Amino acid sequence: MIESCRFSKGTSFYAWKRMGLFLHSLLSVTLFFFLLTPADLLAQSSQQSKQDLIRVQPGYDKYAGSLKQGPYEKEKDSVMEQLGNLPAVPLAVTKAGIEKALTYIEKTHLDDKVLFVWDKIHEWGFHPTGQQLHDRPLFGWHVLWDRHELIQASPYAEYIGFTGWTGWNQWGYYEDAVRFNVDNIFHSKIYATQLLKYETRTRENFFGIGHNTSRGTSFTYRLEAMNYETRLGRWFDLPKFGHVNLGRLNVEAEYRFRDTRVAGGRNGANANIRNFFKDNAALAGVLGGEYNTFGINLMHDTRDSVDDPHTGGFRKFTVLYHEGVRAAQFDFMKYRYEFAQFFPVFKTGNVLGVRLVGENNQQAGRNGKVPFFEMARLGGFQTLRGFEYNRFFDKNALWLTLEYRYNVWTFKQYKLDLVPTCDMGSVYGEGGDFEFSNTRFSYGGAARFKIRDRVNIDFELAHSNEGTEYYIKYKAPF
Amino acid sequence: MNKIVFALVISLMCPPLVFAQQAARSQAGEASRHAEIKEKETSMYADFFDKNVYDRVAQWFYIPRTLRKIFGVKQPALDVNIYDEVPDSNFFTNRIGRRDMSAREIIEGPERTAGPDTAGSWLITKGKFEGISPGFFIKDSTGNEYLIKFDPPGYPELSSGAEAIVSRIFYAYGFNVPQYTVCYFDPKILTVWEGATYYGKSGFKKKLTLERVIEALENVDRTKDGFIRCSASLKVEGIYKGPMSLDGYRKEDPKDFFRHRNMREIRALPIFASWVNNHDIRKGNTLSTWVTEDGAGYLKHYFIDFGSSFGSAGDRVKDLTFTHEFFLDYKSILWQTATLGLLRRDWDKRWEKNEYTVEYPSAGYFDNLYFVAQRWKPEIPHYAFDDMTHGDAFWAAKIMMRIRPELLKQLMKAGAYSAPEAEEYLYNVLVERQRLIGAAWFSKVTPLDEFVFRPKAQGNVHIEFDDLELLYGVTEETPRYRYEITHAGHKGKEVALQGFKEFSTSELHVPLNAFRASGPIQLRIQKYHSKTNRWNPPVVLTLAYDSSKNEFALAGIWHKDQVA
Repeated sequence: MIESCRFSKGTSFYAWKRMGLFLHSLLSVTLFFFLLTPADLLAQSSQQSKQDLIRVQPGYDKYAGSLKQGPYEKEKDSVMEQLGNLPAVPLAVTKAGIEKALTYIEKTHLDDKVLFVWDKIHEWGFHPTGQQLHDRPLFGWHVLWDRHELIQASPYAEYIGFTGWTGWNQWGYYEDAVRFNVDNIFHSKIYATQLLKYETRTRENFFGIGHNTSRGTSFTYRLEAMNYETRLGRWFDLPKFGHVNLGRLNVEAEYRFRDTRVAGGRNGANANIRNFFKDNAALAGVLGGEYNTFGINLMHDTRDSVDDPHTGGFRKFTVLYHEGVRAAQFDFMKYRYEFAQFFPVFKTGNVLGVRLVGENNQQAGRNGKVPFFEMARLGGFQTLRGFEYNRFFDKNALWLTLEYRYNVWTFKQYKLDLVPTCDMGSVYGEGGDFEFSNTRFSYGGAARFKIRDRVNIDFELAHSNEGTEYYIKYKAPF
Repeated sequence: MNKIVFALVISLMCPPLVFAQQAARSQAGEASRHAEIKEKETSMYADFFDKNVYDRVAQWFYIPRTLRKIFGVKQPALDVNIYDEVPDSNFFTNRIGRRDMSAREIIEGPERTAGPDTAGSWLITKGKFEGISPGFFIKDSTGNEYLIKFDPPGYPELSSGAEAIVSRIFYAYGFNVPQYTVCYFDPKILTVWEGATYYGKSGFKKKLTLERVIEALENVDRTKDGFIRCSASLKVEGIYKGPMSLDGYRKEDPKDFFRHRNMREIRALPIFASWVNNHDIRKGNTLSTWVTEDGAGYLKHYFIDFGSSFGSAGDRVKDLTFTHEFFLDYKSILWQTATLGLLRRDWDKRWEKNEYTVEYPSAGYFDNLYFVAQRWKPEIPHYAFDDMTHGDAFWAAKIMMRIRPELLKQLMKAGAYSAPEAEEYLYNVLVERQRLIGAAWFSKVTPLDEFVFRPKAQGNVHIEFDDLELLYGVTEETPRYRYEITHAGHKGKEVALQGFKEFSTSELHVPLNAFRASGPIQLRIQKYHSKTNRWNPPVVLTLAYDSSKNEFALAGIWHKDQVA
């Protein structure tokens, strides 16, 4: 109909062309038959029948336009092919939308615009980050606003930094902090840090003390704390002997003041800790308290890279003396040691990471007590994956983490590493109480997406005899 | 018979005379038909998503495709003629495959100008500052428009040299390519059009100023006398219609007959590209324009942007994984996962063997260590490449092999390399790689070509051919061939008329007298492959008996993928 309208108005050449072709064909056929006798036609048809399998008379023009599959015609799917392709139709619809969106993003430089704004925000000192704050069930996204202003202060120090941040999530976690640090003071390799932090955690777990506590007997509590912390340290660059790098040694002294308050928590599934433990006699620290901490940290680091180590390791040793202030009787010593070593696996670029951590808390003085929230704890991403966060409490803990890190995908500066993991550890009361039979095990795997050899997303699953836990983090546990 | 020819001629000639006037008007209509051809859009992101994510998943939902994949069946390309060649089209023109070409002819092939006029001023009409290396659209004093691109900082001549050479090699193959010229210019000749804009790193459109241009050029390497080297690509002729899909066709283009994934020249792109190491073959690097010739309009399809060839990735040196793995290489990921990463990947070992360095900055990261022709991969996969048959690969390899080392030596001059040792290095890598590719793909089929067919008396035939493995020296073994004669029996099933006969020369005398009445017959020639200890799939010559001439004629050639 449209064609005929266009033809009648004389605006389309296609209609003319079609008409021309039709008349051309008609005239050609008429003339063809007019000029031939019936005998000729018979001879022609008999030849055709003999060679009906040959599309073109055999002349050998190698680049002739005679196609194997037949004449030039628009390719079409058979009905069977069309039916067979039906399952992909819903996908194709989705694809079309995504493709359009991606093309729009690139065409309008939307990606560049977003990156530009993001960079600007960083330039202004704000570093928003998202993370899973706690392990399950305290899953939620933590938004951190980190304002960092770098003050070039040479020749007095390499830099003077001032950092402030606020963190929160919808599960009742809140954190506010300011930190002031000066590095390489007078280029003497001495550094100093001061930190003031306020935090509230409303869904902390407590399952009782000991290695064989029941998962069903769980309590929840709210911990509110104000911290002041100051550190003064110096690092020593140790010499290299050929291929052997002795790395760096940090020696650090620290002082902390902490004012804590403990109250009933907000996790509806668990019992309120204050309903069961009325005072410090029932559970040290259940009423909170204030305490000072004095300590020394030693760290020896031989890793080839802090973000993505392939060889070397680190060793940390911490001794802290805690002294209760006013009514608090939190007088105790804390010893913590952490050894981590990374072994390259042949020449594959794969790494076997081993970490051994031990923590020992001992009461100091006759009436000294270790508050439960300062005890050694196991369970969760940093300690024993596959168990609930802070699943086990006791004075002492020893745990071992094994990770086999290997790369499965690399593209430019992007990498994906897979990591089979195995954790084992136990809490125990006194030094001699440790028994291997009490050790808890878990195993799992992690997928770590890295940009420029730095972990950006770490997705982990770990399984233990108490179930399966998952973690979404932005860095590896060690 | 003569009467039939006479009748045909007369009947075909008369109507055009009658409709001559109308034909002229139709031609004018052709010229305006471009309005019906829609301009397409694409982006790099869409290419990556579409081919490397969507297609890899969706392919399993196309049941016929999945079944073909499971049973290892590949459909032959549709644009192949009866002699197993690709006829000329808007996509491809047989050039070096058809005849010998001189270096001058190849170098001048895509050229319409001698490059931008560096004596006069250049007017920058648009800036391109995304990415590491800047680029400009300019109009020179002669009014020609070019896109000017620069080499990555620290790697002078890397992408410009590659682009100039590889575009010409693609031209020689038979593809349509724009003109790429290496030229040196004094930045003082640059002027900026008052309406010129650019997208900066911020992603916002800004007015382009000369100061901004000078600032952008600060990172670009210069010669001792302050000149800047660039790759200038001349704007292609015609009306821009966007990129060409490497998968489907344009429904609205009447001359676009076959889905592009079913076209041999598209399927075989990885063979052409593997020689010159051009990993960046994708929709975004193609272009279709509406051109009018002799009053008739049609879409002309180009391949563009060859800066990611040799050891270059366009704006940097090739990344380690390029050409070894796709952007997202699921097979490699699965393999790595399953083997716990204990087996080192080729690209990793290659980098170690190169001692973690790139020897020649102008050549980039390009060598033949761990190069296996069948395993070479472009950055993103395509259905077309998956569907490539051994016959398609053989066709491409034989065209590629036609660029002989002595010709290549002269083509290398188009790269205008300042360091002869870098040019020599590239040349040596290319020569070696060409041989490796030829050897790999010729070994998959019976690599016989250039059949000379001489019908003899009594229905006998004399056939001569070139064994490409011997012709190009990829093997020195004495060949073993065999042939059998078959014809289509009941329900088209091949029935042997004569059993296998072995021979070892490139000439074959076949007595066919007994088969004159058998209808079209097939002469199936196979070559013995000593490495696999088996007979390769045959090349099938279809012979038809012409009773009027009392002789057999060659009616078809087919390099088969499978023995059956």
